[in-house]
Amino acid sequence: MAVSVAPKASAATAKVNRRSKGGGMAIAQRRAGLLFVTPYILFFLLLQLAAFAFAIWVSFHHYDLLALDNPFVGLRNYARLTVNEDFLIALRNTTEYAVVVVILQTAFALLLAVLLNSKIKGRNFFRTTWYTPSVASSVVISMIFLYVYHPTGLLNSILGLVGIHTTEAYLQSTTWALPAIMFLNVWTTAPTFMLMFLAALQDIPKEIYEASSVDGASAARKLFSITIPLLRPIIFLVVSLGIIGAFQIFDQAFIMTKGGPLKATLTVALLIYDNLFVDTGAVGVACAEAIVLGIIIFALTLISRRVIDTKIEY
Amino acid sequence: MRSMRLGLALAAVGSVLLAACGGGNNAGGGATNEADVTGTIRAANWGGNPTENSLVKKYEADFMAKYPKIKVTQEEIPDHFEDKIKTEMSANNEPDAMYVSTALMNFAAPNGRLLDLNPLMSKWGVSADEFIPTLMTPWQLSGKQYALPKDFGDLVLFYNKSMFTAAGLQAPTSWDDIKSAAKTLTKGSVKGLSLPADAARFDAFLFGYGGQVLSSDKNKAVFNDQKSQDALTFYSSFQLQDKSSDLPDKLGATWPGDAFGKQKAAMVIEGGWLIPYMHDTYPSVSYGSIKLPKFPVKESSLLFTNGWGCSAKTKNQDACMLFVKYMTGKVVQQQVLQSGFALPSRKDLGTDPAITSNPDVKNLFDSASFATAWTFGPHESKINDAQNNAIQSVLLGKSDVKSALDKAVADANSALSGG
Repeated sequence: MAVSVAPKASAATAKVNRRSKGGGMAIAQRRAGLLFVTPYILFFLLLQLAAFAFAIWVSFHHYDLLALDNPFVGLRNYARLTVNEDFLIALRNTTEYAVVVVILQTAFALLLAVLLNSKIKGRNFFRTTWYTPSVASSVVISMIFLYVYHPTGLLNSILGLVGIHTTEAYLQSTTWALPAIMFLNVWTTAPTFMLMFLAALQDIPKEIYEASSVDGASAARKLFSITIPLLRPIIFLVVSLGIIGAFQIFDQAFIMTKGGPLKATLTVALLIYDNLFVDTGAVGVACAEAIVLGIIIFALTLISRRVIDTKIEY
Repeated sequence: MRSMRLGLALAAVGSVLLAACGGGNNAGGGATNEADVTGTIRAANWGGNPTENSLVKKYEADFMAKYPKIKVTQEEIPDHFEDKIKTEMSANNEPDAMYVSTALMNFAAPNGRLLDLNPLMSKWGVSADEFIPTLMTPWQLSGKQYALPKDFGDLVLFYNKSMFTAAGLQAPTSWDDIKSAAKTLTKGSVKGLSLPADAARFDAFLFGYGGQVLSSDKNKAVFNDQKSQDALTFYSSFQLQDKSSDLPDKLGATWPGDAFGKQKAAMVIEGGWLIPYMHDTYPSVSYGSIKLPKFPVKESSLLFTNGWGCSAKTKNQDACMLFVKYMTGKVVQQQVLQSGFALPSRKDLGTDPAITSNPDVKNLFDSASFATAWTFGPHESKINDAQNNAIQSVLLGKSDVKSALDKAVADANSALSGG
């Protein structure tokens, strides 16, 4: 490569010469590479890293959006979280939500992927229809589910057809509101993860299955002894993304229940929003909550990496 | 530290700007004649209701026709009005003129973000006496007037005439009447009444039973005394003992007015906004209204009001004041009254035929004389959350009245003490 550059370099000034000695094309490549990543780096520095750093800074202050003076309060915002009843309720709700949703959506996504990976009729049709909920905006889906869960809505109509007559208002019930949102979320996110599983399934060499068939393995045995162990890296990915998404649950709860009834669906992200915009002087508390939430997600991702060993040998 | 310095710098810039404007006005260079005032102002209104939004648009067009040198750009905020204004204020990018709700007043005025209208009112000939006095107080803080009331609404009891006639009932005149009528009219999926888990309805009962939400110095929540407990016991007795009331969403409705229109509830406690809603959505339902009957201690209703005010940073103070003057003036308020949306905040419209000839509107207007303005200071969102949770947990059977109110008062007090 350097050969093709050399004639040009020799005709140019000493300065360029000196550069070309440092590895002409390599520098040009490096520069091009930098040029390509610059927009993202700028975006990242400005909108993510700077915002993140600012949030940490704010979390150590008593911060009011409208006040001119925002005094430093050290760890007070964090200390208050441990006795803040709303935060503890939100943390409990979010954890409960994350555990149920991550387990169900991972299992459901794997099941769908295995089904689609087998030779069933109309595979493409199923692939498209099952993926549809993931394409629609969560806001739109939430609005639709307001009608599904309505006392005289779709769910109760279907239950009526099978002989269960009820006018339960799911989203106004402290028992059902959180499960209702869990179900909605499993239904919308599982298909995205189904695609990831599907891609990974197609990477598993057919020979392994053929060999196991020769050895007389059953379908279930193949699933648990071949498919799932070989899918470990992708299971880790799906579980991590699931945890991150589940702990950030906001829009569905915001649109459907506003955290109610009686804080049954109050999530950490919803509480952060309330502290930021509804309660004027609690921006510092909101940032402290956001940092704690971030640490929790980070820690859980590390733990899931430990638990699901990602080393894999075919 | 950096924010302090930045803050000081901003404050300095702000005061220079204000001084510059003030200087301009007083030096005689500024307009003293309404027709000479120029400028462009951004005016933000809550536009959650399309009908109301288009009315505001029309009034603003009328204003520009009257004052051709002033240009108004409408900024409608469909939802989360205060949240949007709050972020705009913190970015120093708020509109010049805006709806000032009591919630907005409560956080913006103490932070010096709203313009004191008193000097401009005297400059442009607006007198506080033109307005109903109880509607002026929500916008006052340490002798300053931060907004002018544009209209108001309050609560009366609406009842379904045909359901009452079919059951052989007369219009109720007392709470005993309402209680027995509610029982009579409850049949199958239809309830006699729909009382929501909402402090914006319950507090009418609370005040009527002699209770208070806040202590007189507004520093403590006190809505768990015996009077308040009696009020909530009575409010919940319709649903819990008589089974003659239910929450609107349990009746398949989004709000009590919706349940009333769908004829799932024979009575509701609502305001003037129900009248155009029924006219547009459920025109075939015939209904009447009564003022809320006297409660054990006194007559009571709740007063909800909105005003127009200006940002403290506006560069066009005179134009903004003229706009506020017009939007709260007789011409606009007469049209608001005729649209049926809200009641006029002006004394001079009290004898308007639109009020005296419509018994429902007259009930609403007359209730203002004993209604209490529903506003609880800078922490009102937390206070109302606490109240709503208490009412909800009682109505859902999760808690008894006393422990629900005790817990709510503790929550509200922790908000009031800066927790």
